[in-house]
Amino acid sequence: MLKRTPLLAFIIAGLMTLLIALLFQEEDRSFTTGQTVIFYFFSFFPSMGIAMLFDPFPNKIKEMYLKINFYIQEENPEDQVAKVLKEELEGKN
Amino acid sequence: MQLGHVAVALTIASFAPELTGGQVEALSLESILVALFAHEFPNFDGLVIMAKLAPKKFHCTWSHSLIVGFLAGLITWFINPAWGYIFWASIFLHYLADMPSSVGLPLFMPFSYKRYTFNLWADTGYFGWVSFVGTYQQAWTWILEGGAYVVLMIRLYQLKIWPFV
Repeated sequence: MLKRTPLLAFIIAGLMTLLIALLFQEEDRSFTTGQTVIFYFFSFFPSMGIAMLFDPFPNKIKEMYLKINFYIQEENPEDQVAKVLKEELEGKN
Repeated sequence: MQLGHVAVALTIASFAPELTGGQVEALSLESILVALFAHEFPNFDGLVIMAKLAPKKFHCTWSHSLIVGFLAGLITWFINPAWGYIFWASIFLHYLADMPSSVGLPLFMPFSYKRYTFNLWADTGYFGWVSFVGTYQQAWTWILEGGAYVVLMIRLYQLKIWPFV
């Protein structure tokens, strides 16, 4: 994962918190500092996802998992993932 | 969807008065238990697989078909109509929450075995560490599951529930 991805997420979370305040804050019930921190904390998670859209690593992971059928009775998920990872590493070398 | 199911279930429980015509209070113990049970109901197929009563491929089949959801809700409705409405909302939203996964849901089983998916993230199996880690290495799981928790926090604020008193 790129180093900039969590940093980008922190910024997006701030913007998302601002948007939540603009859309949902009631006039006579302003968010307290603690409540704003809670919204910022929870906004970080979807913001991380948005930031990950601009990072090639999660896409590669998705492509890797798409190659695996986890519903083959005899196969173990750990072994299946390890096998695909090994194949990808061999493909690179 | 994995951890996000809890947030979706609690958000449904927050709408209990609207769903039941005021018979059940928002986020009461009753609404939470019914919503959580109904929302997790389709994933009980994982328990059946772990108990070795069904093969792995049983996951996301019958338990994720609209007709099973409707019938399970109907049984609940006969026990308590208010619970039935919460059950239907919870189970159908479970299907919607699972549709971004590449595994796809056979919504019209047993009439059609075609699987429907939004294909936003790759399926990582039904249980275990590999499934958990794989899910949260993908962008859209963070967006949608994290988003579900943001929506839940907004509902807590609107209902003046701690920590938004």
